[in-house]
Amino acid sequence: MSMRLPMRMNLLRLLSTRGSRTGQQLLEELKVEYGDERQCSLPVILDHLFNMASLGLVTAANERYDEHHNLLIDFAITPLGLSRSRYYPAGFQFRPVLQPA
Amino acid sequence: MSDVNVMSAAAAVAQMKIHGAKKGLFYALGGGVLWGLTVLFLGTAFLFIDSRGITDSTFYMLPLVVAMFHDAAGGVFMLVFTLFNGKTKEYLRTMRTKPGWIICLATIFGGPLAMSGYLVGFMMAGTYAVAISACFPAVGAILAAIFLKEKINLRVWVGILTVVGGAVTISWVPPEGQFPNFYMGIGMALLATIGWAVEGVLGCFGMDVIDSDIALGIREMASGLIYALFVIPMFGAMVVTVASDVPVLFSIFGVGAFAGFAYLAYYKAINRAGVARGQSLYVTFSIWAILFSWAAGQTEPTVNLLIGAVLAVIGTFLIVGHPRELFSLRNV
Repeated sequence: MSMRLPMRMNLLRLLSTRGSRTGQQLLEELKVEYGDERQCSLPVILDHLFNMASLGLVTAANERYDEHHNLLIDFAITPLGLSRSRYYPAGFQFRPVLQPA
Repeated sequence: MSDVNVMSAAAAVAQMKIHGAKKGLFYALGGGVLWGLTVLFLGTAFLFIDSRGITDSTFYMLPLVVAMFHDAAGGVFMLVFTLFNGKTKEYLRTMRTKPGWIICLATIFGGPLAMSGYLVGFMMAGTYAVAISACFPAVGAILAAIFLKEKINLRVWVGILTVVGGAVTISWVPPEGQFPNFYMGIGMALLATIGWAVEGVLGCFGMDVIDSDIALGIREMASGLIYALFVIPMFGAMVVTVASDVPVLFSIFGVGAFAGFAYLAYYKAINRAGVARGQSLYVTFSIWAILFSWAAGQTEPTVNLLIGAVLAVIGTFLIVGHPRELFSLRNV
């Protein structure tokens, strides 16, 4: 069985390697790996993201409503978030593909 | 998209942030109340153990044996908790990462090291040790400001010192009896103070990238395991005595599982409100414990209790201040 990162660590890695993302986009990407797990839900993901924003690891870069009046918030990784890469297991360490916010 | 929509989206995000900040403060205060109740239950459990006539030459080390079962029970509680919220698989994933081991390191400081220091300090220096160990939030705040670059303004510093002053005042009762190893006891209490402060900072650092539920589960299970590694070989007879008395074992496990709630709130608090605010609101447990004990008819109100409670309330208001300060906890 292939190794998976803890979901919160994966959130940070995705924001680094794929650029800024909304909670909904991250949910779809994480469902591929954690789909059958109850923790893989939008409220839990948004909770992690807002928590990491208060800790300075990510930032809420932009917010808007879509045509269905759903609130969409773009989260982007910060330099502090990028610095956490060194604590990731070999093979999961990341480099930014986009400029950090 | 209209400007009105953009503004209301920003306002909605601000509202979500406020909600998250208030949750962090609620966890810190709630954790203090729950740990205050845990202290009351633990005291009752010790009285129950005493009434069962469990005693031998190593009876004075009973708190360490209780701590082992207590933390193991907390670990089981967290295992069940994470089973319900679908996070059980995260344990193994987390233990393959460095932050997982940082949580284990935090466990050594906050579990066996600090707890042993506290218990031995209490034996050697009486209640002075309790008062000294209540200073851990102040040390934690200093370490968090240095190593985590946590933002702590003057009002919050004054609040932290006021709450710690309240906790120390309540614990500051001249001890009865002789203490030939008094200064050694003070040293051991300082070890507890530093241990709990370091646990907060390391735990907070690890929880940057680890779910706080999983961090606490690892903390409780690792603590129970570390205790077992040195408690069982040294006090095996006492362990067998406690484990073979089913009502005693159930009472300790019950208190341990309840303590799991308190520690869950504490770990969420230091993750969401920061080490400085989280620990200093949590330490109000020393006031809650005595208030609950008074309500249960076990103690009488004292001048120290009144002064300590007033200081704690003033300090809490100063620390809570503006929840908006929790939008950005660090100078980064």
